[in-house]
Amino acid sequence: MSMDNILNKAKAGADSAEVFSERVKSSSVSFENSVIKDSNTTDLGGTSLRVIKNGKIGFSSSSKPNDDSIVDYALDVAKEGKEVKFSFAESTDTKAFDIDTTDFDNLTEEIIIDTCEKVVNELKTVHDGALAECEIKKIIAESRIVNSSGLDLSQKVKTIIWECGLDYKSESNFLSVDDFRIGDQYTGFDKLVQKVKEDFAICQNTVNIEPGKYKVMFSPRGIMYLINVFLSCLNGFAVAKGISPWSDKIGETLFDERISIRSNLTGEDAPVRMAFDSEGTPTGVTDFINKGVLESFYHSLDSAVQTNQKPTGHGFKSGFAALPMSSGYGFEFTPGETELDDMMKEADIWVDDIIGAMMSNPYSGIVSGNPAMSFTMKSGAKTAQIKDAMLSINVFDLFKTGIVAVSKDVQQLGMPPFFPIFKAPYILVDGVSIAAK
Amino acid sequence: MKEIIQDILKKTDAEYAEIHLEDTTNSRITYTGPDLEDCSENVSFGGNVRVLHKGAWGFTTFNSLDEIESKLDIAFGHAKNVGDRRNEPFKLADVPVVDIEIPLDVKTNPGDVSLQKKIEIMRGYNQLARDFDERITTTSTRYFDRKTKLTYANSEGTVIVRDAVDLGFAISAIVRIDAGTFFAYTTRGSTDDFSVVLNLDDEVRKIAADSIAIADAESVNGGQYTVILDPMLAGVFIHEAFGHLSEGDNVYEDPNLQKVMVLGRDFGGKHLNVADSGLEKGNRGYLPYDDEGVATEKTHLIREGKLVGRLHSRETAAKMGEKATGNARAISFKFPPIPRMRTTMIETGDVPFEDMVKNTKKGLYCISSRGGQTNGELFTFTAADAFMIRDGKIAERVRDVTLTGNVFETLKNIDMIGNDYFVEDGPGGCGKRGQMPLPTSEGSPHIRIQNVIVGGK
Repeated sequence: MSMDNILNKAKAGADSAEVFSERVKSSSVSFENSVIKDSNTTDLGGTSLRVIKNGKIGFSSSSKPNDDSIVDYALDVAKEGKEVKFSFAESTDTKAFDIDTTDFDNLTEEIIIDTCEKVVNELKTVHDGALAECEIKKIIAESRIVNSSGLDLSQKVKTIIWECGLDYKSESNFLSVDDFRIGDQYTGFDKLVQKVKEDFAICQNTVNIEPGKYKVMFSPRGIMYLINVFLSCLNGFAVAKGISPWSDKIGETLFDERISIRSNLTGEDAPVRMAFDSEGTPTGVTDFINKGVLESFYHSLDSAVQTNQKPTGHGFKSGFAALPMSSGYGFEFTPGETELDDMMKEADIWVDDIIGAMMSNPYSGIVSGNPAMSFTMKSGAKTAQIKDAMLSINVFDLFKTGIVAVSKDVQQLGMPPFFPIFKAPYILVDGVSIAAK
Repeated sequence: MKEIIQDILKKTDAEYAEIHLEDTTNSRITYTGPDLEDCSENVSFGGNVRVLHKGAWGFTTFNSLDEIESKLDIAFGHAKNVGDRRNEPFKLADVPVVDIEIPLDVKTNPGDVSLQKKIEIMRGYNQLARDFDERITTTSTRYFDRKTKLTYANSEGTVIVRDAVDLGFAISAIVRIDAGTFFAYTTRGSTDDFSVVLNLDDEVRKIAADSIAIADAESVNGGQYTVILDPMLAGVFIHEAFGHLSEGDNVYEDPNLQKVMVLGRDFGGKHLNVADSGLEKGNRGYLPYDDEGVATEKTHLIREGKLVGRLHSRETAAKMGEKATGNARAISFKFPPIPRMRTTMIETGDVPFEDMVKNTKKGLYCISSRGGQTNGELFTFTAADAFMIRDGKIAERVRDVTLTGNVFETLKNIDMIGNDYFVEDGPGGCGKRGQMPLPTSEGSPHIRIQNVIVGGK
């Protein structure tokens, strides 16, 4: 049964209805012991249905092709469902972005394998016995949403992830250096390979540091482990439920004036470009924190109505089988005014990676973890890899009083589904606590 | 169905091919505060084809049975593209060919309980936590169950058709104060008994009280501590710290790691015994056959402190000249199977918990876990709740306790293993190579570890 037929059948039993379908195709290769090992393609999709009947919502989904049983399921669970005050999105003139897939299509299996083999062969020359790895993964997601208000939108989003690394394990040190990029345009491995080589060379020296407070440079990759605090506390759903500690702090200065965060889903250089969210609400540019002042939260249809706000186009689904939830897509930190080289001269420690950071409670503002890929700094250069330490930063406090500098340079990163694609600068923070032996 | 798959497999020229089919219906119930945020029924149907050719794998997925033959060709094409470059001989560990149907064998089937009844139970717990104290800002209560028919067949002739159920439950009481938002929670999970989510009122009241006390507690001071881990946190510790390191793919792919993970090497004291088992019926890590059709077992990893085994797929076992252990698992048909854990456990020792505390002058008692992570050598995990130990007594509560260490040093620093034992099950699971959450269980007695680094103010 087609989406339109499912919609018509649902409309007959409900007050309003919304049908969403998605098809995600991905392909990737991976290496083992520096030799190409496997090649995968996945092609998966399904359809979901939301109905509202007597003010209550029902939801169901199926990955079976043309499965209209979801109508009966959704109508059945609507009897027990949550009472909702929102309506499905109205019809809109918003058009999806034209997605040029030429570069995507040109990344054929053969080209991916050849590229990865070249990268691996180059990295292998760095150290005898080190294992080199390389991966290129490309994903294209096509979705369509129709609802009983006449909305009918289709959208295509492409993502390419490319990464490479070197591993060398010995009795005294498990060394693993890698880096990756993510975006809708593949820009090649040159810079990544160079960075991995340089970091691997520095990691030949390891150091235990004294416990204490340090001036720490968080690279954009390091910021990725702090961004969960912002994603969580700015979430309109967490605000509606009173979970966010910022629920009643609109207009308050929460951070240093050099901290500005917005969502950008429509700009030419947006982290990810989507004209509308999974509910059909048009997206755009939304300021959340402007020069340290909390201005707004991000919302789905539901969280917006619960907090008397307008939806911001952040009602995204983590797959066709999931309900749309307010989700922090398109985050951008505003770049600063400081040259990266100048910041490096001031930093004691450089942090790229924090193991365990995601287990921290984001609503407490505290992020703790082992800074597994971190370096001591001297005169603006990385000198040695830090071992056996535990980093703890209270983002609420130190992004208000401890910011030393924010870089002009920004980088696009992300690790979907854990970290949606975002843009961040390098941020130098003073007073970061490091526990060590 | 199995005959159709077997016929298709007979047509391939591949050295080895296998097909998975999965037909799942799941129910979800989620309350946040007073609202039933998610109440849904969802159907997931699909499968995958995996082909081995000259040492390389090709893998592809499908949603429709009509696609199986074409997907087999695609997977074979992938395997040939890579295999012709790799050009290795066929190598999978020999395992018995089985043809078996495994019907559902449960104590209480969640499928026999109406959606309305499940909602009523969850609403009751949720309301109990909300009403406990006015300082409870909100609550989160979530429950899921799923019934699955799994069909597996390979070109060697193995066919397994298995019916399974799985369920998970978690409730959190959440307190927001000026310093941030804090919570306490409890979980349940099972593969054979809906009743694990019944009669939990006392536990719900306890976590509600704990959430208030945690919010009122001071952050721990960072530093190096003697820590006592409760069985739930000790289970997560052994999963993160040693379970992942024992997964065969991590070892066989890396000649350098093989030099470190030599069988017979001392990793801890004689009191340390660690195993991973698929046989613990009812646990979420229970698994009669893995996703390569291999019967599971209890696999000892450490016996009396010495490394004695690891967790293998057929491929990793063959390449290391060891036995397949039934650890090849995938979270769903959307992914290829890789070596993963099942129920990972530290076996019971002989020290009463009271003696551990009594013999600790200054330390931390860490309770339950909000999860952990490892990179092989280093591990990190976060305690859900913790208390200082002072002069052999449990003292004040502290919060924001995250522990880290070097796996090898820390295993040797376990100086006491309790005479108790508990298995944790919940709605979450393990993550590896993009596959998350895989249902696993963790079991342990209380353990005491010296010189653990704890992050803090």
